Amino acid sequence: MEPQTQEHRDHDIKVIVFAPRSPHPKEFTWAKTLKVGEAAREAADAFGYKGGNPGLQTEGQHPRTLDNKKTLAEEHVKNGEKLELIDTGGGV
Amino acid sequence: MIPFEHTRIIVEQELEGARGWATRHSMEICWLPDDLQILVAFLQPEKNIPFFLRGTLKDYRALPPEWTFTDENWQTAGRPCDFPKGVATTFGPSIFIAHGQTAVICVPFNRLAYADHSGPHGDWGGSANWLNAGAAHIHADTIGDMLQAIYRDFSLTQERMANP
Repeated sequence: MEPQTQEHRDHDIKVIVFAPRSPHPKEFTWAKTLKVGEAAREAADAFGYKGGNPGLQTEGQHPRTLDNKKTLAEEHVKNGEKLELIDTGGGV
Repeated sequence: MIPFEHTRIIVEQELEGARGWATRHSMEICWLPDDLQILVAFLQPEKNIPFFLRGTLKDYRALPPEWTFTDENWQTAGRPCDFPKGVATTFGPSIFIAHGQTAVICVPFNRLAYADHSGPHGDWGGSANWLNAGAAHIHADTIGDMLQAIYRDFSLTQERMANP
């Protein structure tokens, strides 16, 4: 079992996701190959969002919105990183 | 339509999450329960110009809040000089638009965007339909999500919509 655990460790990342509707973040373990949009939808569902266009943004003074079509690895999401759920719908 | 006390309780529940968001972005939310108003000062990241966002929540959640930028005394509404000048984003057109002689935050979660409140949208089924309106556009249905959505486009702006 240990090699499999090690394999998962190599292929997965653990991230902390904040949502503006909740005072408490949630922790997720995702495959690095997961698309950002799929991860965002999973996180949105966990926070109780219905519909919308969920996406993920980095934290910090100059936050960066991750591309929903790229994988977490392609967007350089690191283990332990803090991300924020956002809606990526356009203006009107 | 909605008892004052019901709205106050709902807003105060939603403010728990919204205050967490504000703290993460170095902002403070001022809640005026007697007026059912929320006041938040936004600072343009590039130019450090302060803007003053006011949400009025009478009849929330039967109707969306009335979101507008005001003067520094939180008194005015819809003046282009109090609004940021919208710039296109990676998500699409800006949510800050001119409408006649006024300025509007044009999103389904703003009562002032609806034609039944002098806004531009007569095609969203009325402000009471706000939770289902404009599904293809930016979506937010709690106070924290609304503040984040407005700040998302605000953070890209660089100047005022009109000179004071």
